[in-house]
Amino acid sequence: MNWKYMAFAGALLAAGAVQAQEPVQGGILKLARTSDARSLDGSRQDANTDTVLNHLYDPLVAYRADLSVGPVLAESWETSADGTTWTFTLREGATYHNGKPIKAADMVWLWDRYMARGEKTGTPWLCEDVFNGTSNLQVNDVSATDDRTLVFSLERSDPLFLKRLADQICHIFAVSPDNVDENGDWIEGSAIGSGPFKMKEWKKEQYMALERFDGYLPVNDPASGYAGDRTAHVDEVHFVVVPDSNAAETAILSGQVDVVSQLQPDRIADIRTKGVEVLSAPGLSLTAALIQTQDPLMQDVRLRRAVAHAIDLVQLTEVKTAGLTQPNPSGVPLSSEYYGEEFAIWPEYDPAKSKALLKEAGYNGEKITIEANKHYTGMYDNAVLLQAMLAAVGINAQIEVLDWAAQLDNFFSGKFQVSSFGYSQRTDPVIIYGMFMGDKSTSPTAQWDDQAANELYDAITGEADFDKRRAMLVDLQKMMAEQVPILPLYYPPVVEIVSPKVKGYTTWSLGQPRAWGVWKTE
Amino acid sequence: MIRFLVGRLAMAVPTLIIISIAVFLMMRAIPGDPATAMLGDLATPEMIARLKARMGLDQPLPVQYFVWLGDILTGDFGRSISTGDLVLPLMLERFQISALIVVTAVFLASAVAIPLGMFAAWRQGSAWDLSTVAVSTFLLSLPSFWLGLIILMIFGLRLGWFPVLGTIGMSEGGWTKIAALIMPVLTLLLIEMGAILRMIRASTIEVLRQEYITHARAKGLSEWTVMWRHAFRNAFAPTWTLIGLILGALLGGIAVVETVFTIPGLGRLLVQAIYTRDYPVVQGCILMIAVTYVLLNLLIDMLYPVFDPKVAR
Repeated sequence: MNWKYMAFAGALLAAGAVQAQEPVQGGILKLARTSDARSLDGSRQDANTDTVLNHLYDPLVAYRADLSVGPVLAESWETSADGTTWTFTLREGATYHNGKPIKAADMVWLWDRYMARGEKTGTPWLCEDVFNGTSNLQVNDVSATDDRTLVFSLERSDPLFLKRLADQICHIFAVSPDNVDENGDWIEGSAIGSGPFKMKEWKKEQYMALERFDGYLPVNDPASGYAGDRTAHVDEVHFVVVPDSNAAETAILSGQVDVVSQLQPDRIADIRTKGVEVLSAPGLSLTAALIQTQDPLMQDVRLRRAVAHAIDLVQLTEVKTAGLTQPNPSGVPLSSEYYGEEFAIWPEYDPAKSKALLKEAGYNGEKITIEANKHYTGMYDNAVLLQAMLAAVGINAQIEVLDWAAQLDNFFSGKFQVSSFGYSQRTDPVIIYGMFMGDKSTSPTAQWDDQAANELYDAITGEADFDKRRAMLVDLQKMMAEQVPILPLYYPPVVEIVSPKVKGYTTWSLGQPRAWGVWKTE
Repeated sequence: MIRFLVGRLAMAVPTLIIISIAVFLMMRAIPGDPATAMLGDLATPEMIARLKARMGLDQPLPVQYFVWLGDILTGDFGRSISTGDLVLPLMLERFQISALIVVTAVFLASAVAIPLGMFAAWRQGSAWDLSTVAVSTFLLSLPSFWLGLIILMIFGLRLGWFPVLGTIGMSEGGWTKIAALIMPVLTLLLIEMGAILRMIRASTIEVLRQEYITHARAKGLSEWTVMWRHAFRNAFAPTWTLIGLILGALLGGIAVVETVFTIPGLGRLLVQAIYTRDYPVVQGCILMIAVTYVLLNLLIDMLYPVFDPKVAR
C-alpha cells in the first residue's frame, strides 16, 4: 500500500467521521425520568417537571453550561446605570406552537399569574419570595413597552437578578395565553408554548411524547446548557417514567430508552463495561451534615470542630462518588467561576486533634443522633460513613432513620441534632451560602446564625464586582471553617448514561437532560 | 341469599368507618405534611403555612375528617395534592392495571398448583412429593423484588423476549401489552404458587385419610373419581380461603413488582402518595383497598357452597 492510497483512505475515513458528527433529522429519543411531570403550567414543580417545561416553553434567559447567563427567548438585554431597570429584547419572528407571535405582554401576563398564584390556589410559585422583597431582591414592576421589549423595574440594584431569572425554577417562559379558559383556568392537557418541541401525547405515569416544532426560530447564540440555540433534530422526544434505577439500567441496555439520568456513582464501573457511554459533570447540590448549633451538646464549637477533624472528607467523597469529584466543604461548587483552593479551607482530618478537642469540651460519650432517610440512599450512606468515622474517635453517634417527609419536616422546624441532608441544586455561591445562613429565631432552616457572618453575607449580596465579591466569599468560608456550623461534604456529580446510538448529547452541572441538538444514528 | 348479602354489606359499613378514621388519623400522626413534601427545601416557612391553610390543614382534625367524609359520600375523593388529578378516576385506572396482573397471576398459580399439590398428596412420600414440597418451599421464600429482577434480566435483557419497561408496553396495546404483563404475572405466579400448592397438598393428605375415602375406594371407584369427586371438593375449601386472602392482599398493592417492571398500578400510586404525604390519594387508596377486601371476602363466602359440601348442606 503506497502513501498516496493511505492518504486517500485516511481522507475518506476522516470525511466519514465528520459526516457521522453532522446532525441527522428524525428518530425518537427516549429519556428515562424517575417520575412524571406534575403539571404543564408550572403550578406544581419538581426537577422532572422543569425539564419537560423547558422543552415546551422557552425562558427569557437561562444558564449556559459554564453557569454564565445566556439568551433563549431574549436575544439581548441591558441594564440602567443605577442597575434598577432591566430591559430585555425578545427575538424577532418567534411564534408559539399555534403560529401566533410571541409578545412581551404575554410574559407580563405570566409574571402576574405566577405572583398571584399563591393567593388564588394556595400553591405559591417557588420563586415568589425570591422576587417580592422577602430577600434583598424586589421587583416592583414588569411591563411591556412594545411587542418585543420587556422591562423589569427593581426596588434597588441586585447583582443576582439575572441569575435568579436564569434559574430553571424561576424561569419566566413564553407561554401562550390561549392555554387558559375565560375564567383564567389552565385548560387540561394544554401546552401551547414556544419551545423546540410541542405536546403530542401524555399518558400519565407512563410517558410524555413531544414532537419537534418545525416553526421554531432559535436565538443566534451557540447551544450551551439551557441557553442558546435549541434547534431540535429528533422527530420526537419521549420522557419515559422509570422510577427504579435497576429497571432504568436494564432498559437502556435493552435499547428501550436512550438516556438515563441520575445514575448512582457506585454503578459506574460495571455499566462502563456494557457498551454505553457514561457522562459526568460536577454537581450543584450541596451534600452536608446539618448541625443544630442550639442543641445543648452541639452548641459547643469545640465539639463541632472535633466532629470536623474526625471526618475524612477525601475518603468519604471517594467512596460516595466513585472518585468522580473531590471533597468540597464550602458553598462554592467546583464548576463555579468563583471556585479556588481557598474554598477548601476546613479543619483537616486529624483524629488525634479531634480526641483532644473532645476532651477539652468535656465530652463523655453522650449520644449524638444523626437523622437520615432511605428514600435518598446517598443521605443514609453518608450517615453510616459519618457514624463510623465519629466512632473511631470515640463519639457515640446513632443513626435515626426517618422517611424523607419526616426528615424534611424536622429540617423546617430545626428539630434535629445532626441531619444527613442534601440541598436542591443552586447555581450561585451567594445563593448557596444564603440557604444555610440567617437568623434561627425567624428562620429555623438557617444552620449558621452568627452576627458577623450575617453582616458579611449581606455585604456580599450587594457587591457586584467579581474580585471583591470573591474575596469576601473567601473570608466567609474562613469564618465557617472556624465555627463549623454545618458540615459541608461534597457536591454529588451529575452522572448520565447514554446509548451509543445517540449523538450530540452532553451532560452539564445542572443535570437536566436536553433533547435539542441531539440526533440518533438509527 | 339477598338478606345474607344485605346483612354482610351492612356489617361492612362500621368496618369501613373505622378504617377511614384510622387511616385519616395515622396520616396526620406521622411526621411530615403534604405542604412541606410538595414544596421541598426551596420553600420558606411562610409559603408552607400559606399552603397548609389553603389545603385546610390548619383546621381542627374533626372538621378535616368530616369534610373529607362528606365529600366521599358524594363521590368526591378530592384531587391529588402532587398532581392535581381527580383521585377517584386515578385510583380506578391504576386499580384496573393491578387487578389484571393479580387476577391473572393468582388464577394461573391456582391452575398449576392445585393439580400438582393434589398429585403430590396422592403420591405422598414419593420423590415427586418431596421435590414438589422442596420447590414450593423455595418459591415461598423468594423475595418478590429479587425474583422480579432475575426474571427481568433473563427474559427482558438477555433473551429480549418481553419489553423491560411496562410503561411502554402497556401504552401500545395488543401483543405488546400482553408481553409487558407476562413478566410481572410470572413473578407473582411463582411466588403465590408455593403457598397454594402447600395448602392444597396438606388438606388433600388430610382428606385422603378420612374413612369415606377408604369407603369410596372399597366400592371400587376409580382413583380419578375418588380424587375429583370426593377428595378435591372436601380439600379445596381451605385453599379457596387462602386464594381469597392472597387476592385481597395482592389487590391491596404489589408496589414492589410494579416498581421493578415499571407498571403504573395502584401499589406504586399508594407508595408514592405516602412519600409525598398526598393525603387524598392515600386515604382514597386505603379506603378502596378496604372495600375491595370486604367485597372479595363476600364473594369467597358466597362461593363456599359450590366447593364445600358441608357448607352446601
